[in-house]
Amino acid sequence: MWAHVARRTAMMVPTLLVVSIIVFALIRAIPGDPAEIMLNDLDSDAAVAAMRTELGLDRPIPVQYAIWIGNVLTGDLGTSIRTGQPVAEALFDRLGVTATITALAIGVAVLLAIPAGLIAAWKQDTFTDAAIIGVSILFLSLPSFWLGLMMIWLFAITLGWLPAIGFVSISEDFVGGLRYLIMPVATLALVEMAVVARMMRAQTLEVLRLDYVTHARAKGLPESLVLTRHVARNALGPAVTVIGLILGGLLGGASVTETVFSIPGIGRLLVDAIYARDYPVLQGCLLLIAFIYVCVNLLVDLAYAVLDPRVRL
Amino acid sequence: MTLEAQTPSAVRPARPRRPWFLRQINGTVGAALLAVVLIGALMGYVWVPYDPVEPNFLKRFEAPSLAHLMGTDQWGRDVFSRILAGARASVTVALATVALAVSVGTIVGGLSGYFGGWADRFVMLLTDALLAFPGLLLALAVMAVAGPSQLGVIVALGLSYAPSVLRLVRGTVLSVREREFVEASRAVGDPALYTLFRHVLPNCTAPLIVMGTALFGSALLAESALSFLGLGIPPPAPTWGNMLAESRGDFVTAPWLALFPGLAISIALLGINVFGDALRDRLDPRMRGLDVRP
Repeated sequence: MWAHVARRTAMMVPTLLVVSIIVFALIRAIPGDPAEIMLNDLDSDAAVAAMRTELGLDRPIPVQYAIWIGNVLTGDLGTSIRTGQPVAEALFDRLGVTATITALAIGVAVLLAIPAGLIAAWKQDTFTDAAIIGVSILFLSLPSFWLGLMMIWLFAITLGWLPAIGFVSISEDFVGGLRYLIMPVATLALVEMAVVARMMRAQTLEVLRLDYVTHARAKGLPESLVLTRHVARNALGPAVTVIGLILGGLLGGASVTETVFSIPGIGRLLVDAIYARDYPVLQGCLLLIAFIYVCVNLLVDLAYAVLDPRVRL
Repeated sequence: MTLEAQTPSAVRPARPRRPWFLRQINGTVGAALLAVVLIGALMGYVWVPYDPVEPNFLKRFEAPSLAHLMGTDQWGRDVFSRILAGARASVTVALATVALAVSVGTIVGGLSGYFGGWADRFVMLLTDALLAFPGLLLALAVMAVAGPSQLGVIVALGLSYAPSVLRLVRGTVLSVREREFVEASRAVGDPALYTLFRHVLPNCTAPLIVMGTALFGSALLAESALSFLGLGIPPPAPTWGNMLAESRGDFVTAPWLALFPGLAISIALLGINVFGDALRDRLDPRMRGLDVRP
């Protein structure tokens, strides 16, 4: 088991290294000279040259990469061109917001979707099954940004129940913060729920046909116990892997939802960095999100191995 | 509670065959929805009722009516015409993206899996790294480099999806490479590339069709999302995404501006999802194994 953990963890290193090279190369490929963007047009050529030296832009590119990756590994991601704030600090500030929303959305989605998928499979080809599949596929087809806009229109503008846009930290004002969280979390959860429910249904269908389920029923075990103890447990393993997938969807789509609801999360930070050509921040966001995603996928793989020991063979 | 659920499985009768409408409904409904979208996109190429780009300040914010089926926007442009023009943009971008991702993924994945060696290891390392950028992230980064444009979106999304195709193709190639018919082809002296394209890669067709359909939906959604963020196809050229973005300032007074582009995206995605499910049931052997019908 520990050998498996160590091997899988070691496999992350080359991937992350190539990720960092891709990020570095992409940022270098953006047209325009960062030194000139940081200074204004009135500055002399000498000032620009001095800035280039200060930023290390006059060194060969492999040297620039080596210096940059060395800094990244020691936690120095540079400073924002726009605000002058250290990038690591900005990322840390924003990550909490995104993490709160993402974690809540995953929680809600999983709690609702696992039973829904289980029931749909158990009642395969009945009205209940059709309803659950139908609703899932419907939510799967709603773009989150549009769902968000429609929710704002209905609950904030027409009914006036919830604040339309913005964010208040729940550590400052718990109830107020929750009111701001409801719509973004619901928007994300509804879409992701559909993914999990479909996966859970497919897995359950597979397990339901296995001999030990027939055996459990034959020995007179109540159906509820058959479902929870034998079916759900075995269907859950593969379904857990989709959590990695969901997290990818949520992190990769955070820019969109956070834009709809004007939430100061990491996705919004990334988009603002693109608009403002704030390279250090953009680099930091890309690296951090990819790093988190790779780590979570590793954890999911390991969890899968724990839930299903056959995987390790 | 149905009788079936209460009957112990030992005496459970064979599951009855699904009624025809349940068996056929997915494919039919999905195909119909997709057809609506494709016809809309064709109309966007051939004919639209009003000019989708030229402002007409005399007709700003008109509610939906017979003259303007989906109303007019803040520039007085007919929303229905813009939806059709947007269908054209979305479908074109999505098709081009899928074509790019599938060709790159199939060729690189096929060669890499078939010949193996250090090149294969390098390709896999690069693929793993590209797949480490979840969802829109890689596309956003590429758009930051390319700047908003239609070609930029196609390249950005094509690059984002190619690694998934590559993995699928490579996996199939690896499992087929050692089969007898491939060995036979080698034994009679076929050139390696001929064997690869004639005997190995055709085995990827069914999963590629399933994946291509799903990618078409993903590309359509992703293009809308990028355009919504102002990093996709730039205005005034209409896309469903940038129409939604432009509606944000006015949708309190003119909700139809946000309603119709979103409905268009949803209908397209619903069609693709439903149709894709039906396709997968029929084509992908793995899924067929899961969904055994007596």
